[in-house]
Amino acid sequence: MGIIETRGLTKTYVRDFIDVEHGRLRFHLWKRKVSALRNLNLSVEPGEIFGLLGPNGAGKTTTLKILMGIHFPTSGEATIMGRPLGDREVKSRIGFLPENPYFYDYLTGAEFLNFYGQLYGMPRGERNRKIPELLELVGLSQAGKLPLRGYSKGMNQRIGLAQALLNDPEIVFLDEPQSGLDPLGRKDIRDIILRLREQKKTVFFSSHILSDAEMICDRVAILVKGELRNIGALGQLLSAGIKDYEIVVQGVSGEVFSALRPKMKSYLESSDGIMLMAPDEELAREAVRITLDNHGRLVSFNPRRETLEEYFISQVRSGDNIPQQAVQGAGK
Amino acid sequence: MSVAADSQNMHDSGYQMSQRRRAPVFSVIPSISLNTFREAVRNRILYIILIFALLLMASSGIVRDLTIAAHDRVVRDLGLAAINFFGLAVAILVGINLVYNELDKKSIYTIVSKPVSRWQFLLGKYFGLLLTIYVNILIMGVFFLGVINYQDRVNEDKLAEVLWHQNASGQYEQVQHPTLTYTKYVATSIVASAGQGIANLFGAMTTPRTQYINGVIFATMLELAIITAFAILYSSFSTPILSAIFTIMTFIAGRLNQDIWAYAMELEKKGLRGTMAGNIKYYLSLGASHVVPNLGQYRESANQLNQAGYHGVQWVEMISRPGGISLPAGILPYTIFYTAAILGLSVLIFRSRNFK
Amino acid sequence: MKSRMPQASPPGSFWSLFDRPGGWVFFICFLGAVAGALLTQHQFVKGYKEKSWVESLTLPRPEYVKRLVLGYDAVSADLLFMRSVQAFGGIYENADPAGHHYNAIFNYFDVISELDPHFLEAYAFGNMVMGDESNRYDLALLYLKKGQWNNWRAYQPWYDAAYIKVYGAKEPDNQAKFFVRQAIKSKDAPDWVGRLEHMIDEQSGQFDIAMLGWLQTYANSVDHGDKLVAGIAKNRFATTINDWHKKILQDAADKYKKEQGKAANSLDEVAQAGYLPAIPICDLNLLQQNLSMFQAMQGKLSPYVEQIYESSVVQKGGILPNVTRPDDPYVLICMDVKDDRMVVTQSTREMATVQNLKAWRSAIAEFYKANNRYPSSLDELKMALPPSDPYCAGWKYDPASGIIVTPAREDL
Repeated sequence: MGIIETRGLTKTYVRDFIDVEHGRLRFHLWKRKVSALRNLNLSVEPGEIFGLLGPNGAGKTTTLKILMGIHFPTSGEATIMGRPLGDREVKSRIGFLPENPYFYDYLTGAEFLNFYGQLYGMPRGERNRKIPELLELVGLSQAGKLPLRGYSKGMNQRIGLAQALLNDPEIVFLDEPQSGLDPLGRKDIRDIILRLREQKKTVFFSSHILSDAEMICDRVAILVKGELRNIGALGQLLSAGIKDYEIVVQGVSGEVFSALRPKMKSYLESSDGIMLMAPDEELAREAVRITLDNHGRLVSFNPRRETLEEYFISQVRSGDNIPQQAVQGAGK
Repeated sequence: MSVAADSQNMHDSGYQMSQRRRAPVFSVIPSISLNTFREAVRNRILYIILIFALLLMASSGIVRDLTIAAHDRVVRDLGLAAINFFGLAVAILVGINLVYNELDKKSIYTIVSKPVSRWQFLLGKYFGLLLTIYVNILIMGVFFLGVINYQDRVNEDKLAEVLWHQNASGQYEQVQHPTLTYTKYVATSIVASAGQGIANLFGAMTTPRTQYINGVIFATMLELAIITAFAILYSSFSTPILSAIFTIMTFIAGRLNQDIWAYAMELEKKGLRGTMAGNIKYYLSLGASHVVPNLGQYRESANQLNQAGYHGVQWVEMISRPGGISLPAGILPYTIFYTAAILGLSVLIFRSRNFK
Repeated sequence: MKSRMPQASPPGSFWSLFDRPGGWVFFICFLGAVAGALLTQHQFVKGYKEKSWVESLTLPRPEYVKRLVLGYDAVSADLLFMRSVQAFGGIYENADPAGHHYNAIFNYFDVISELDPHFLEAYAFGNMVMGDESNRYDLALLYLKKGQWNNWRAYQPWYDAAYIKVYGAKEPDNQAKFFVRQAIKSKDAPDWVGRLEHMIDEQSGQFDIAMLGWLQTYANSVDHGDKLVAGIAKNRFATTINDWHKKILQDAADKYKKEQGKAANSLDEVAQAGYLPAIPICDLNLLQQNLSMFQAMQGKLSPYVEQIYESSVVQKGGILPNVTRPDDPYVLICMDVKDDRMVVTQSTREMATVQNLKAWRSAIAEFYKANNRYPSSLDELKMALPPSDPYCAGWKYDPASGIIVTPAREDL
């Protein structure tokens, strides 16, 4: 049994008569039931980094809120560490960072962490010890004395991460941890998450940023419109084989490839050179040979595997008609 | 950072909890209360209200000149009504935002995910708000009593005593440094009045003008405990404006509770209970008078204490009822029960809410 | 630096409004709207009428106001009271002799007393406004009745009501006395409250009770060394006697007129016709002696009060006419207070001696006619009411000649 388990988790909202849908005001004759989650069955193993992925409105945040006890499921059940939801002992061992968090902006960073430490029941000595450590960890040592009102979005995210790690939790739940961060920030988050795994902690996060998810996740689940499309280790989901070869050459003119060109997956001429995408190894080597025979220069030779983004888009698109907006949002 | 003890067994027999830190129970409510207090104190509206109240009391000197014969009474009534009213203002203006802001801005997400029950959170908010209001009332009370004591110390007669001396030949002449003496006297009077004001709150060092004011302030504090509970209740499920309207309506209904009951009795006396409509009206008003908080009793006790303050206890025995002055026996238990009921109701509403 | 060149105004500033013709149009219309609003408002304002003071002081009924103030009773009563002081205090032009608007005033004070029934200053002030200033004693008494009902152990509503009755409505009747007695019962009643009772007795014709009252007041004040009150009590004692004698003389003269059919020319006629009794002036001296003994002893008072009463002119039925204007028999100035003592002036004594001697002499003459001899002593005459000597020297009677004189004035 995993450290986090859900069985048949369902969440249905009742929407009002007047609604905003697809950017326009819609009226309905009766109250519509919208299911945010349908029969979700998940299991997360301890000590792994688990990513919950999906387009907007898929139910990722809903899942996290249900696990945290912010929402109550319509049906189904879930356990964390073998205990049902809402157990206080469990809550004292987990940390949570919501999406776009808002913290009391009249407190300074240190006061804020101090207050949350009191909520955990940490004695004063421990608090005094840990808070500077955490501030240093998230890169906010200088900002501990500033009120949260003056924090930028990135600083807000960092202090949020600090409070999630305050009680040295065994599981860390993160909802879109990298939203609003610049590339440096994202790297920091990645590093922190990886370090957490080194410390044998479980990390459960939801994200849009597939490239980062690809880098750090052990297992992912893909949620679309409240339903679980697929779940498994990255390696299993993405086909191991090489899909195609990307070759960039310079110094030759396009005519040399005229015979080869129809067989290529794609062909692009630009000022930096010519890029070809060969569907298999033989054609790739043929392209290289032609280049070298014509005294060209091989800039790069890149065998490509399926990326998570491509897999994701294929999962999302399969089945129902999905409006363009959702896909564009998902592919960010 | 330390490592979970049983991490090896995680896969086989399910996850086992190691005996580590237990979730705290008793320290949560005080921390949330203190945090709420800090939040209120850093909120500007509190200062605006406080400054208004203090200005009102300080203007009592001007007010005195507008009356004949009733000066003491006017100053005292105005100050006490200001304390009551502005305490109510703080309860409403600060209280309506309290829970709503947490839910609206979603700062409650990280609180709920901590080992903090929802009821602990709500009670913490309540006590924090109550602490804010009580501190406010105490500041206003000390200031008010200080003003009265100051008026007793710095008036024409006393100033004449200080500034004019009888010299050897029996004539009256001014002291050598009148401005300095005056300033010193005023400064010491301010400090002494403030100190005496604090003592007056505990019933010590009272003059006839400041007698029993502490009792009236205590009655106000009890009344506000109930109103604050209502503010928290409404704030836990509606927007600030609606909460404000509901709380004000509850306040008005509570103050007029006896009249609601009197309406029912009138129906009965005039024999209007015969029809179905009459019966409905009768039972509705009778029921309402039981449910709506009885805020009038605090005013009654306050008025009685006020009268005793003006004229002394014997006078009140003379003109109204014998037996001395005190708050009615059931007031404190009633306040506690009722507040507990309202807070319990808000906890019930709050615990099954899906926070958006 | 703001530029007014059409294209040079920074966007969003005020002057950028004038970059386009539409902006000019808007601004002109805006000015026109403002002007129109002001002008029409001016028409309205011109038609405003100042509210009469009655309108501005009219309140809803007390029970409504009590609900309206939501429990802030005391401070509302205070504010309304302050307002009434501003409105009524000393504004005699608002006095309304016809009394039409006094319902509004009464309601105003009624509201104050409903909000705080124990607000004594309001009862006093309302009484002053409605009673003293406007002569609506009925309203004042009604208002004070509410004060009495709510504060029945405070002296002020009772005292004010008695005062209004006696000095305002000029009805010193039993109700006024009842008010005063209730006022006296209050624990915080000052001393002078009781004096109103004696005044009421005086004014309602119960002179004997009034005299006793003033005597007791005098005695108590001497007890406490209160010279002021002692002087007042003495004055009032004198006045009481004065008024009483006036009344007696007036009644006698009226009776004479009624029975004789014509008005009397002098008090002598009235006295000789038998409508007035004789004058034992000496007893007044005894009274004076006792009073000075008071001042000396300052201790034992009650028996002396009795003594004074017994020896007082009252019991003996005598009167002391002090006619200083002989041509006006109906005007009496009974006695003068001179050097802190009640004295009888010379002319009074003279007249009284003459009268008393006349009485004695006629009695002696009758005796002689009946018994053919003069009586051996004045006691033999057995007069029911033997007149005493106003000069307090005692009668000098010669049984041989039947001549009676007073040694002080042998010429009479």
